Amino acid sequence: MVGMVPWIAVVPLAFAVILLLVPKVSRSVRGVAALVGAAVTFAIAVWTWLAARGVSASFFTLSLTGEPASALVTADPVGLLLVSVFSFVWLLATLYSLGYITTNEHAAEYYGMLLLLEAAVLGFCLTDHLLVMFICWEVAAIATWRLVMFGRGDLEVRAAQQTLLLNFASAALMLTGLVWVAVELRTYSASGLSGGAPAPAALLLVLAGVLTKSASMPFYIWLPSAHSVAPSPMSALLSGTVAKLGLILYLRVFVLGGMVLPGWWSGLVAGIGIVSSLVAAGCALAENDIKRVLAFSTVSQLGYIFVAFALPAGAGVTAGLVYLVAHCLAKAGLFLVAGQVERTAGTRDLRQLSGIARQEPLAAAAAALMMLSIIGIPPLLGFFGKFYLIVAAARWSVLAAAGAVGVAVMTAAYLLRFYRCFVGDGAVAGASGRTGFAMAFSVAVLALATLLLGIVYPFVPFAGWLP
Amino acid sequence: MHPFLMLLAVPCAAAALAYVLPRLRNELTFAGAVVSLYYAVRVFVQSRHGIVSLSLLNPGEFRLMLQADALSGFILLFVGLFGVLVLGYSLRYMRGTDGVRGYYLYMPLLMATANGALLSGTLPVLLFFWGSMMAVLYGLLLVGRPGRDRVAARTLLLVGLSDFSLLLGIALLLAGGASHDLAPAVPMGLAEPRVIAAFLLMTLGALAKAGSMPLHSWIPEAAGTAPATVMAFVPGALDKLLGIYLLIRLSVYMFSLASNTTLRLALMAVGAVTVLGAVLMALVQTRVTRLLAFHAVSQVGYMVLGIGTGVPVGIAGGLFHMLNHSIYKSALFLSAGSVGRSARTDDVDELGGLAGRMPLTFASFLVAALAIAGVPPLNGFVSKWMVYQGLIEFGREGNAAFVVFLVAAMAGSVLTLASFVKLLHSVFFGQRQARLDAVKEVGFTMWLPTALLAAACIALGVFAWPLALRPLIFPALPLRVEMPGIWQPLMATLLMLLSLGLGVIVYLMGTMRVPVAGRNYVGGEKVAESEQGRVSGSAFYGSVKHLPILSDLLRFGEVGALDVYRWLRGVFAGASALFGALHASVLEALYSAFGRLVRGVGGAFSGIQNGFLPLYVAWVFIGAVVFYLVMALR
Repeated sequence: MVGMVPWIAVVPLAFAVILLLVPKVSRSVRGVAALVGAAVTFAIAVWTWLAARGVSASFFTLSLTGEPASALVTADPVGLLLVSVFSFVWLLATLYSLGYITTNEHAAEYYGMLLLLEAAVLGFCLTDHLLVMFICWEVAAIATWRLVMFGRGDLEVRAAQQTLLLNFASAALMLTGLVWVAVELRTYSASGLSGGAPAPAALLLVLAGVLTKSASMPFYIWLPSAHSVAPSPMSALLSGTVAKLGLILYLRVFVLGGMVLPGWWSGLVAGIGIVSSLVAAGCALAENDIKRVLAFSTVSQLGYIFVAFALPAGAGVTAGLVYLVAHCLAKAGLFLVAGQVERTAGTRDLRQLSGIARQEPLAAAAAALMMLSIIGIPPLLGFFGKFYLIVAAARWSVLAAAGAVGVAVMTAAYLLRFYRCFVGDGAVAGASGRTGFAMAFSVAVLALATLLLGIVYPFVPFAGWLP
Repeated sequence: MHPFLMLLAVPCAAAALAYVLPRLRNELTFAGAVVSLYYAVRVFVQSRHGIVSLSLLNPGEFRLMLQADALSGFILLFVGLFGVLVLGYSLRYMRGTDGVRGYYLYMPLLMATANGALLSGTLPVLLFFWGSMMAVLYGLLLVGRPGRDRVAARTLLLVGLSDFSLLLGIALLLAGGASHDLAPAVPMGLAEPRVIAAFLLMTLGALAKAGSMPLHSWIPEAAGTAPATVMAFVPGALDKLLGIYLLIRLSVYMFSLASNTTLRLALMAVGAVTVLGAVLMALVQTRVTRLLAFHAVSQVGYMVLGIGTGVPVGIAGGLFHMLNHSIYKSALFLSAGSVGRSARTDDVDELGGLAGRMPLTFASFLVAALAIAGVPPLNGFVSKWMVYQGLIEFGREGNAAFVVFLVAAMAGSVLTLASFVKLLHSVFFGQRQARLDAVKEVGFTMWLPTALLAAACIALGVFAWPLALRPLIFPALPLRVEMPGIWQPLMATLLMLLSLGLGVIVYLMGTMRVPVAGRNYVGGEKVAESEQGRVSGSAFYGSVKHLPILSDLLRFGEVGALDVYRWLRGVFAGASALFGALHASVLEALYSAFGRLVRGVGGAFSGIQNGFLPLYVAWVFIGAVVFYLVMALR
């Protein structure tokens, strides 16, 4: 089973190429083909993960030169956990798209790019090689650019350009940093960096790329506009998976890589994380567009995970990963719900939305579960992430723990404000009726996953499967 | 299956069944409560012989370590009892109400999470159930009258704040390497700053759950939208049981509060402020449930005051007061619910004269009202007396501050009586408006739970020692309680009955039986018969609103100046304005400035590239010259 690892990225890539090249096929055929591709990918990923659970070291490598140190594909517990979760979200987002994408225009490109993005993200999770990471990173940026401008309106194109420019600019900085580090330490393998102490300037260059992709202060500016104009399934994937790439690179290179970091490093990254969490939470409170509220919430939660990964000696790795998974599921689900709300009510303005629960009871219930998970309320998965994170942060600095708690309370405030669109007493005037099965089903499955993973979490030794 | 697991599984199963079988939801949830009570009794009996514990797989912070000792066994028993009474009352009360499917889902789930919190053996597990309870409460408050979404959001934010404070406290404790056991062999001293901070943060969680100030403001709001049963069960009974449970766990079992006098004084001050502040707010309320809700806050003050003394008799008094409060407050909320359902309003200005129409409800309400006011020989008096004893004992340690607290507590008692005189007058006495003539007594499934609770108020007052203190309260505390000036309830009751009998004889013999009727005139005109001398509820203490200092305080209270929720909203508004502006004016501006720079540079270069070959050749030439110059000069 373990030999199947490369297929996790190859299958979506192959489907993407076919979908992009084959002309003149109807929208629904393309959608179903993309769904099949996502389903096969998910099956391989989960199967491999379950087959390899409990193994702590990296157990599969594929190298062109035969040396493990220059392996192009490396599967380890973290990577397999992430590809399982991400391919699950991809499957549901693709299913949701079947109901959501109702125009034939650009549908061919949409499904092709969706799977290309999946191939890039999953490939990124399954490699230890710095340059392969960089290539996947850039492919993801290109696919993101095409998908964000799906609507081709003025706003869409502007947001997509902004996303592409900022990401490319920072990726150039990051590439410089990565090559600098690799040349100093004489290896391109992230796990081979162990014990090395590269120049702080090189580290800062890499950090700039990481902070841009994972949308933290001061480079987060592209994320709110991109998330709010992209099609909802794309916003879900952007928030749930693509924006996590920076965190994953940080985890692989800076935390698990085992480099000797300067003494001020933890303070710097955790400080950026907390400040960006707080600022974004404040911005989320000020927004009236539900997708922009959710987008700022993503910025805020990404900052939270930075705090976890920044803790010295990898003390917050498990906490960060659990929270990353919880946020991926819940926030992807909330963006999908936002798409449903927009479809049902014809607006995304919080001041006009009220009482959608009457038209969409299932979506309202699902949104409640995912909202509570992100706030960090048991028995949902987000609680465990937040609990471990705050306990780990308190061991390092009481101030960081208190900041994390403050952000959590603000999170509750803006998400409850967001949730008013479901439970208010009013009704939306131009309500145009329900959304289809495919959309409702994907949202319900994500909410259920959030609930069930939370309930079984204390019983399953997930933490033992991680580094 | 182990009774612990049944206590978790039975209510969950009842909730799930009631949700999928809506026709039988009343019966199913009631049956679930009864079965759950059975297991609670079993656990209670077992816990009398020592700690019962159950460890489920998976080591780590969240290993499911469940245990029941004398304290949690005692509280579990009462959670089960109140569940049966309230769900029994709901059999009729909620029937025929639309849009309450969530009610039957969340009430049993609330019981399950409360059972889980009481059975937790370690702090992380407690936090898990505690937070789950909050999530369920959010769902439960989304059931009810319009405006419920705001109430539910306010509740989740305030209770969530306390929950995260509990989390931070636990994190500090765990980070300091302390044990997270809820019942360690020896309680920790409160001297280290880190431990004190952890204790304070966790205590805030307990106080907020119990409904004490400063995080109380969701309770009166909830009274406006939630059904009376929810008010009776949650702020009336469950929250007191759990909040005070945690407070005693923290201040007696885990830490020894008695070792730090400053903290004791702080806790007592919170208690005294809560008693007085909330009772003053209660005096001016015009809706029955909202008035009762303020009392649900005020009474917590006595419990906190008692536990804050750190003296065994005070702590026992606080614990006993918690039990008594749960009984009379749920009786009051349920009676108010009966009145509201029969009269179709709970505005005191529209009610009046219902004593004759609803005699059983009236009798229960009267007993419970006298109990909450602390009139002997009812249960509320006994526990308040013990709290006063605790305060005096505390004063014997040489701290004169106890006098202030004692005066506050007694003044609170007087004001409580005053506000219930108003309520009794405006609901059950006074003149009945014509539209209330058709009001009838509620059915037996509704008056019986209320009457049982009222009977318990009398029984626990008259037979306080054999029924409550000896078998329930004292064994639940790891302390030796000495009661110096013990109140003899039985003797006192006999004396009071005797004097009451004398009074009746005097009344029968005297001339008071002949009321003198006269006509009322206003400006020479006869006042209409129905309006004769009617004093409405809101006018009853009209003068309170005009007292010099008090009036300012009340005005503050009414507009919510003392409401932490308002403060939080203010902080959030400030944060959103500040950070929103930062985002829009600084970061967006920086980005567009950068964009302009790039465009400017690009424009300059595009001017150079005009497509004419000679220009490019010139550039190559200039480049070559520069290159050679550099090479030649180095």
